[in-house]
Amino acid sequence: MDQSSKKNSGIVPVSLAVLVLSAIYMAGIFTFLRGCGPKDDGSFMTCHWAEMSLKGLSAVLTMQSVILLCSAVKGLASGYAALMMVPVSLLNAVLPGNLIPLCMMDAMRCRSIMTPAARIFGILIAALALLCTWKDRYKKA
Amino acid sequence: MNRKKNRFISWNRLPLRSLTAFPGRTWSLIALTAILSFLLFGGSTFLKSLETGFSTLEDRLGADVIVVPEDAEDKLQKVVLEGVPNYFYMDKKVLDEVEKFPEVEKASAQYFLCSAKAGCCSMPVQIIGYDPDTDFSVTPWIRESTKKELGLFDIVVGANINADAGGQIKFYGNTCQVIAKLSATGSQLDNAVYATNDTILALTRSSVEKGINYLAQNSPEDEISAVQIQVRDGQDPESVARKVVSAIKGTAAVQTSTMLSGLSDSLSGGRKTIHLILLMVWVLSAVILFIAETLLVRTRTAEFAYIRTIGASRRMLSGMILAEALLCGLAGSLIGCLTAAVILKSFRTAIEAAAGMPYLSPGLKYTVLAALLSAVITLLSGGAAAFLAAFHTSRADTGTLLRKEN
Repeated sequence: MDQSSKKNSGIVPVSLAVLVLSAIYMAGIFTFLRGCGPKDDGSFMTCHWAEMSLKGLSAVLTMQSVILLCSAVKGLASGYAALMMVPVSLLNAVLPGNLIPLCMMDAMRCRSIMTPAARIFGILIAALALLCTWKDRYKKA
Repeated sequence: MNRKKNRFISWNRLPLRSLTAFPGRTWSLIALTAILSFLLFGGSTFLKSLETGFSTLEDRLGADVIVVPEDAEDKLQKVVLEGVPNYFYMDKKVLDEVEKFPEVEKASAQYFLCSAKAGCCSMPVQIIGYDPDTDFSVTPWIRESTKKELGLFDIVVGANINADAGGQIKFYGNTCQVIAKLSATGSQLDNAVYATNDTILALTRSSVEKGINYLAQNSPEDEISAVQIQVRDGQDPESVARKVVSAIKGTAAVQTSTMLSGLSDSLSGGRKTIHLILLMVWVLSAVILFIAETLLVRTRTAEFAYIRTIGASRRMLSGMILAEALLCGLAGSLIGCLTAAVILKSFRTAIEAAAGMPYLSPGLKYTVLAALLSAVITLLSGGAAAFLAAFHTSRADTGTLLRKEN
């Protein structure tokens, strides 16, 4: 095994962890991590659009993590693929409550469950993606 | 000579190099210790948060007895303990009757209003009107946040309302100015808004103009929701409550200590259960750690035998195994405590709602102490397990170990 292969052998487990986290987050945001439901008259509150945005971002993150894992398994240079996940996951973390407003009460689902989950998963995925980028540093494109 | 290329491993760096050379084995040990410290720190902090929330709520309630309409005892409990916004009314004359009792030192009326919309969401908000001239339960709490007197359409919000001093919230089309935000109690009182009776009157009139007429018949000019009573020193709140109920028809008197006693019983029961679970977790984890360390040591007998042949003493070998276990324990403790802290802090409101009890995070001092204690217990458990395994290995004859391996 040459030097670069030896040093990059750790990237596959990390990219697998990224995929698992992204998949759990995507499944969660559609189910147990979702935001507030519709109002009595059927209309939606502002936080609904934050939830829809997070659903979209989670799908993008999951697809990116699949590409990352495939390139890592194939032994391709996957540092850039991992790096591309960082701004998307950080956007995921800052979007609810900052870019799209939420309900005013902390007890509402959007603030008590959806937002903390988005922040935790966003930061974790970004950190692991950066780790993948760092581990891939010896690979020549 | 290139010092970097010819650098050899010193004895002090051997444990760390051994751990990094086998990441799968290392991460497994770290994961075990992380789970132990997560459960120890998380469990103890959760319990302390429940106790802190309970004692804060006890302080905040202020009154010894609360008089409400006859059929509103359960509704009052729901408002205070479960955060279900509600409203109930009785004749304002009840306050005058209560004040006549010689056992009553202070009495003050409160008015409960339930907003249909808070300008933010469909969840109704509990608005509590109080008389600033006679109030003794809400005012001291408000004074902690602001010295300013509340005027018309001035409100003070609970800790869970996302508005700060200087902000605005609309009720029935009226823009209310947020004067202050109260400190957290960990209870459902954090989801309420407080205003003077003048503001409540104005909001009631607005609700009539908007066609929400059910509030029109219940104006603070004629009716009240509750009377807060503080009994004189030496008087028994229970007997005062009985006298009030028998003297004033159509009322119920709730002792705050009784209202909280059910909560206190739940907390005691919960405390015992959590302590038992934590003890079982610690014992189980210690056993698993011992088994894991023993198995690990057994798979490395050849490695240890070679180390002994190049001159390491039994003591040095035991020290190396112990150092590896402590490093894994340290990393695991850090990860476990950090994960528990992040989850408990981030999902505080959801945990409070799920627990159905007052929940208030303990201060930084307790959190740091709990984290240190959890880390020490985790390190001791892992260290003891590694020590026992290392002791057994270091006693074995090197030649025997090598022959077994071959």
